[in-house]
Amino acid sequence: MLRAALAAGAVAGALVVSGCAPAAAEQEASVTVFAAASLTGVFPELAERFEAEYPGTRVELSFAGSSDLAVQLVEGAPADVFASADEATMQRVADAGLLQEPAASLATNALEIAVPVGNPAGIASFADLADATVVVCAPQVPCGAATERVEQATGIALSPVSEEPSVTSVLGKVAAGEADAGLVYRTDVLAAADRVEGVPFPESSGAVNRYLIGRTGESALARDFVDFVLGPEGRDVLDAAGFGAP
Amino acid sequence: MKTALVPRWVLALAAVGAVFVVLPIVAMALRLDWTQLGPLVASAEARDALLLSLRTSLASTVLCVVLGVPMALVLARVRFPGQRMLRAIVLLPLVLPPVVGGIALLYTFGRRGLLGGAFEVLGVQIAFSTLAVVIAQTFVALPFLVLSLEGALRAIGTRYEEVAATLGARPTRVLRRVTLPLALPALLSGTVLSFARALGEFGATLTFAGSLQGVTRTMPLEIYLQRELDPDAAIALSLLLVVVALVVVALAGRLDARAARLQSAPARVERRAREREQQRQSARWNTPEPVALALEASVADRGWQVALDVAPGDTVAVVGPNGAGKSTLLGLLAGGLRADSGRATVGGTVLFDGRAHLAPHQRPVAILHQDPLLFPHLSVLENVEFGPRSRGMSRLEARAAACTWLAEADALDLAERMPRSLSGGQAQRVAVARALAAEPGVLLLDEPLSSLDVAAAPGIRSMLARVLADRTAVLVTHDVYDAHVLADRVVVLDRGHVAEVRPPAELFARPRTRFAAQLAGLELLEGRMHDGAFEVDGVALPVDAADGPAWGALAPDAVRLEATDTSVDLAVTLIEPRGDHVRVHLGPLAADVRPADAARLAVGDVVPVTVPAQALTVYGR
Repeated sequence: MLRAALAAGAVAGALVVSGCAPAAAEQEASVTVFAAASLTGVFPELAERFEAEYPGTRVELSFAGSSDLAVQLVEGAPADVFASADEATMQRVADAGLLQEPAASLATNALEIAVPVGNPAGIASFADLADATVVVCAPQVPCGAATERVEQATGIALSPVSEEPSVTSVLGKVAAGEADAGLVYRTDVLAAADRVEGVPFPESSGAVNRYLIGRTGESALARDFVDFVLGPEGRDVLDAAGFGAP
Repeated sequence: MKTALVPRWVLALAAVGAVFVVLPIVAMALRLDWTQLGPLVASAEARDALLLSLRTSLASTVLCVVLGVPMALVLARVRFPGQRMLRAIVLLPLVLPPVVGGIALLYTFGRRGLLGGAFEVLGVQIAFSTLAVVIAQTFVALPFLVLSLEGALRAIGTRYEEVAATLGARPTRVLRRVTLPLALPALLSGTVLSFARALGEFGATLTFAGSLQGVTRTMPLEIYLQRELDPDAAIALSLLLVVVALVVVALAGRLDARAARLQSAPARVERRAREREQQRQSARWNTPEPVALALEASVADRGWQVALDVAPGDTVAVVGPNGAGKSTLLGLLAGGLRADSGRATVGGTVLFDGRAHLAPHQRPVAILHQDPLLFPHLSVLENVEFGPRSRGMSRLEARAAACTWLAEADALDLAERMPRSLSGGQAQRVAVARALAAEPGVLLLDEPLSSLDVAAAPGIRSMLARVLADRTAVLVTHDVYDAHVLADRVVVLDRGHVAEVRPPAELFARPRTRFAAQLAGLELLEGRMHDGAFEVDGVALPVDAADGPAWGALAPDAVRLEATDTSVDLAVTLIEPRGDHVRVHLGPLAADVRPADAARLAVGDVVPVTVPAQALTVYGR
């Protein structure tokens, strides 16, 4: 049986080499999109809608931390569109001369307090965090930078038990009940609605995070995708997920 | 460079492998802006992370050793139901993604975890503490130590441990002085592996312990974070981590080597001085008063049932075909094997009976094997001291005793040597000294001369004859000569039962079993005396003995194939080459002839056979 499978594989290989395989790539134009991990909740739906509007096209999505994606792009990864969770990361891609045109503002995101289901520590305001077991993002990552800005604006210094390298790590510790509260984006709270509860606080408006989208590929389809995401239909999807207007 | 035994293609693939590992590190180093390295490495964050990493990795390595060594021992040495399953579970952290490992730890030690409540009551919070980092690192690093040590323990086997036990060492002493020293290389490499794994640990730590500078943010976490801002900084820190890891491992190696040197050099000088003093005192070590051995036992599933009594100071040789039960006898006496029923005593000590079963190290029994099995990591003197020390003698007394017994075994000049530098004969002398130094009531000898070369055997044999003269001993052998020289009595075992027991001269001259006859080079004839002739299978040989059923012990080398006035004509039934001679079977009789003479014979030829008087001994049966 193994031999048969190998033989079949060899035949298929020969067909591809000789150009006899059905040429999927020729029938279907594709666009490769690198998107920040915090966009995982919205970009699949955007891609689906885009493919419906442009029949015969395909959107290849790749999600990771913004800075991971930036490193990959700078090292030559073939992506047509890059959506970052902050301005600094997009700047690194721009500095490498990879953007076809200046990046556009995609959305904004504000911090929200995430608490375990039932809010056992009774957190109601940002000030309550001062003497709770709280987990935040490290200042090196965008959500951590935003946290620092809120601290400065409010004059309330937090003493977190952990400064995590990603929103996911913060959410994990809150959901597990290890921490009384964590600071993440509003969209993250919504996406994890069954595991954590959100406590909005007014001071978060002082530290809004800006998402950018830029075109790194020359194809017309890449331009179409960016336009689609920035257009009314894209706006609807982003709004529904809790992102603020750009 | 030595390349013998390694095919070229293996060398080529190994080179590819090396390049595969080294090249990415080189690529990383090439990218690095080295001028930036100094300030980066000197930053408070980097320093805190590095110190934390070293502290936690060392702590978790210690934990790995403390928990992993017993685990490896149990897996390698103990048989219990569910063992395979346990091994699979122990190795689980190797395949489990560390992030999942971290979640598992969170569910165990976390605030809402399985044990978290209990810790909370005690006022201990594990999550977000340095302790959590150590736990996470230990969890992922432990299998590396268990794996490498267990493999080594299996490869080493249990023979040295068994010898140590029969020399009187308690299990803990066996572990400390024999098992662990023998497994030391694997223990060290396992420890280094766990340390390296702990140092590189990321996923479980982040998930379980969090990330706070100076508390839980170890180097890998710091590197991960630095990468968000500046990938080059992350590379620089990684290289720093690699260098630190190499330095720590190299230091560990140096310490180990130095410890070994420290132990040997000054001890040697001191030892020589003491030995001279002790040789003078050694006369006061006397052979203990001989004791009796009595055994009557059965092992049902081997169909073994034997009663054996050895008088104080006697040596009994045990002979018998393969599978006759000689090893069973030794196993029952040494304690490695349990009898289904019966009882054995040495002097006043009960080895086992219906209720009790003394452990090997508690028995006044030492065993000497065919293989000397000297502990390879101990010097000759330390090998011989092992028994006395195990029985609680002080260092000085033990040394004096060891010197005495080495002298007794004509091996005092070997005291300083290591076992690997000894010849087979020398090693066996030391093994004898080591067994005697344990001052056993009974000495068991399992074919002690059979692996020695022809030149070495006579010296050892005469030495054994001397030390066994006043000693209760059981000697398993295949050699008639050894039995003659060393034993007072010979026991023939056959299929788990005693076939005969007699002094060697009598037993081998007038055997009553085919096996004993065969050992003595005789053909055992089962016939009868009638009218001044020994009759067997229709052949009558004139012999002077009383009428009745009788055995005839025929020495084929004295039988001649020639016609005389007493010769009988017989047909050749079998021609059996035996190296330098050929045994020609002629019905019930046999004759040993030179190969050249035998070549002229064929099965069926009728030849005259003369049996001189000295070729046949007839005795009643």
